[in-house]
Amino acid sequence: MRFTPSYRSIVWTAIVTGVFSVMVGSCLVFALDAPWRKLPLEELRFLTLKAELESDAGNERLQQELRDLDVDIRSRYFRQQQFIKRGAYLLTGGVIATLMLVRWSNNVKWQAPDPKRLVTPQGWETRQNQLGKIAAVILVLALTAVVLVYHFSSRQPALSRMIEIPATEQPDTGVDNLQPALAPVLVPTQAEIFANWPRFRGPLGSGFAAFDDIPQTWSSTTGEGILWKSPVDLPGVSSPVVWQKRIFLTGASALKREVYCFDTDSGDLIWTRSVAVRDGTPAETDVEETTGFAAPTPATDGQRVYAIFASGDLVAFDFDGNELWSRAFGPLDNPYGHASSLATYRDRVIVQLDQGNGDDHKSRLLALQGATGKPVWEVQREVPASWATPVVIEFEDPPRIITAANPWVIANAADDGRELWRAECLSGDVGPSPIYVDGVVYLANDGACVAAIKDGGRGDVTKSHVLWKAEYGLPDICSPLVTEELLLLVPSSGGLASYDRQTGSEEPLWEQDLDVMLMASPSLVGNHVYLIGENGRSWVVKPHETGFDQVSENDLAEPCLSCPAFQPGRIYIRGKQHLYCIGNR
Amino acid sequence: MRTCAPVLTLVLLGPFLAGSACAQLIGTPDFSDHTIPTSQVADPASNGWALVDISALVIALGLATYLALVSRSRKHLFLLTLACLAYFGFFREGCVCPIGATQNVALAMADASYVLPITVIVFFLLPLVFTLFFGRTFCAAVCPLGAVQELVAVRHVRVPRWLDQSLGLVPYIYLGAAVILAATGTAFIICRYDPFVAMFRLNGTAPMLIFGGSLLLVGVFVGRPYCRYLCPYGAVLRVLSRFSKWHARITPSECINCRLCEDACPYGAIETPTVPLSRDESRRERRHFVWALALVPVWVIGGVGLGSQLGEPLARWNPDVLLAEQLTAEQFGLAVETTDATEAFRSAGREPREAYLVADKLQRRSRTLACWLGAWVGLVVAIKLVQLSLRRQRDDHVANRSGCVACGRCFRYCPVELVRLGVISDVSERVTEEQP
Repeated sequence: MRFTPSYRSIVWTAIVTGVFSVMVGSCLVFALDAPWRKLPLEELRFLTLKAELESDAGNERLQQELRDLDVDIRSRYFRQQQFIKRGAYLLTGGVIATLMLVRWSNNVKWQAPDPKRLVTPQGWETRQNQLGKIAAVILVLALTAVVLVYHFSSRQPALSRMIEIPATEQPDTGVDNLQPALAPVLVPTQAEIFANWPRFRGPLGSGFAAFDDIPQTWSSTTGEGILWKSPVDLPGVSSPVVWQKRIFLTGASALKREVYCFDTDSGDLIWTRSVAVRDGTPAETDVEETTGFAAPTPATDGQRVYAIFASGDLVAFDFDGNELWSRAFGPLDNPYGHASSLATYRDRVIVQLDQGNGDDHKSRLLALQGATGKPVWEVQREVPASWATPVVIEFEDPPRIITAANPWVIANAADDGRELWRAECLSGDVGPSPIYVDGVVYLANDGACVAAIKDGGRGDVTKSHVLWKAEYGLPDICSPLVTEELLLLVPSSGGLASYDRQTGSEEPLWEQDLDVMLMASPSLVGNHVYLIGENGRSWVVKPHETGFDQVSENDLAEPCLSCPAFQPGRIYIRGKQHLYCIGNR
Repeated sequence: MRTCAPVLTLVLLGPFLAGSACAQLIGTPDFSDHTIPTSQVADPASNGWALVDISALVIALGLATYLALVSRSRKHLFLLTLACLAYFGFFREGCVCPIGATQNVALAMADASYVLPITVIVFFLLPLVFTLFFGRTFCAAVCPLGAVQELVAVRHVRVPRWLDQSLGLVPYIYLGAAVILAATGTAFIICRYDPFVAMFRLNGTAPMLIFGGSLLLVGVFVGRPYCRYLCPYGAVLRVLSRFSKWHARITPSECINCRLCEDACPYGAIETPTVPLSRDESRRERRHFVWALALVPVWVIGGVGLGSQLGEPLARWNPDVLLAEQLTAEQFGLAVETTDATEAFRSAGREPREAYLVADKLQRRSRTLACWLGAWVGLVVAIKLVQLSLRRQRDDHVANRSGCVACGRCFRYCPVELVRLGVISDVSERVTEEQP
């Protein structure tokens, strides 16, 4: 095709204006990225001088220098802004000129089309319409997917659930009527949870206390280290839980159940509340003597305290002792008596109700609304009665609840209860609870094994995620404890046994006797392990690769089957008849 | 010409990069005697400019209509496009525009206390009235957003009809969302996501600049992508234009079916004559049509179901709801830092409960409106499916009444038009005997 001279000249002019625009654009890109485009407050020299002046406020030379620099930077900045603005005008003009010339050249060389190349095939419109319908439906499905993803993702973050305003009609005016209906749902932060002792064996249920100044010696005989002791009316092996200035505890006999709230500073009993027998619950529940009627440890979310008893009665109180709601799950088909402690997840209470023989569909795991007791979700478990306590891992994605029963260790999503994974490791009566440390679940049970399972995967992960297993030194009641390098077990025969937590081994690294049976699971403070025997004698030991060194031996002068609770500088231990506060202050 | 595309790509991004330079603020001097001026409230826009704007709109619409329907002058239409781009775009910085005015009207209808300026009313209504009588002459040359795209549309690629039809649903969905969000006072999303206002003002945020630049780059090859696949006001104009009394035509008199214009429209708005269907095909088409009609309620109910899931996310677009959430988060230690909004709220001596009350009302209203939005989307999809099942008989090459923006690009392709203009003396000079 031979173009006319006018076409060539238009194209060349367009090229020239295009090149001009590119050059102007390049200059602007450079100007945008130039170091002298920094805002005055971001200049290093400026910030340095400012810092110097703050430490030497009266220095007039520095003040003057700073003023001069300020003016200089601002002048440069505004000159540059002006430069960019002019450049933008030039560029806009160049672009418009280029576009106009391109269009002009198009017009000059325009030729009428050749219709022979534009034949519309038979049935083209029908096919296009059919495709159009499919594409429209796909578009809508894609839109639906986006909406649903957006909807569910916006439900996940904590902030999105902070304002849960009931659907009940509210008056448009009258701010005073808002409380408590419009009160936001209170969810404890991770920092709050870790600053307290809200459940069995502490924030993660691992027996680890990250507090300073925890005492290592005490004696109830001499009174050394005992800040106060308060009588507890009803017996129980449940452990104390602590939230700020309040200690919660449960006690029960065959016919009576009570929840106690003590003051952490004085040990005074702030309130006691009896839990009535609900309709449908038999007056008496058969339990094994050691377990008793108040074996499950209560749990708190910082707003409410939840307690459950062997009868299956679950109750919630606020911190002032007002009963908020109660639910009766009894009678529970449990040969020794229900002992699984409660846990919380956000504003929910988690209940592991394993009972029966596994084939009768009696066992279940529930999440109930903390404020109302209404179920959020519930999953059936094909396991027999167990006595272990669930572990809630809130910081994993998705947040999960790990439970142990014969024969499964199961992880369920904390938000909706769906099962994430399960591993077959256990057998017999499962009493020790699992613990979760650094992405690994450790558990042990007499008659089965001790195992380390890597968290993750889907479905049955027995073959893929069990890191190691061993069969010696197994506990029947006490839960495991992990130190920096070791996994410690309290064998059913007494004493302490140890495995390398990373690699495991066929037999324990060591096993040492303590001449007394232990019912309370061990606790870890720093690199010291706290052990409490059932006769009240206790030890602080420092474990290592070949055994442990005893740091101190203490006495409580009364039997103890409960796990201690910790606060900075303090230990709370429940004896058979008293609640003790041991501390340095 | 093809070699010009990379050049265009580079030069089109330039103004946007430059524009981002102006979107920064700097603090006042710390160590000088500079007196910090007190904040000044800007004077209200003078009525004089409002009158000028309205006059300019009336004149531009009148001229566009005359040039598209009567004189049929593409050249003059293009010059008018440039003039409108210069005035409504660069000089008046893209505001007020009928596209954004849709939101003002929606808010005014939902909130009686919202005062609607006369300029906004005129800018919203006048193009609708013109469209109802003369087709989309506003899109042809008056709208600055259309104008800037018209300018860059130099190398068009035909978008497959099926894709064009399905993407054409998006403006209606966008319209529904924009109206709902505006009516609740949540956001004016059309203005917030106006792709070209940053260019008109030589200022804007990086996402706006990238969005606008990308649309213009696409617009080099796909004619007017914003107008066809996003513009919510265009969605309204499409419907009205379908019923317009007069409309721009490809040929000034009778179509001779020379097919020269088939590929002339970069906006895919030229409809070719239909081929008669066999009896079986006709029966199948009718069956599809009946099914599409019967499924309309299903789509609407499905849309309501979808919308019911949208209430909470929709409410979270509202700054008042976000403020209440942030206040609560701060109150219970879930937020590490306060925000300017919560600081200002507390400084005003207001109680968080006030914010909860407002958030509650907004959330409840959002739930209802989200269901309406869902119903609207369902209805739009259902109508599209019915429309695609409905076959109309055409004997000539015609401009699609809803899709045609009356730009006049097709005029010069028509031999009848060339005869009218005196460029050729007879259509046979352009149409050979081989052609139908």
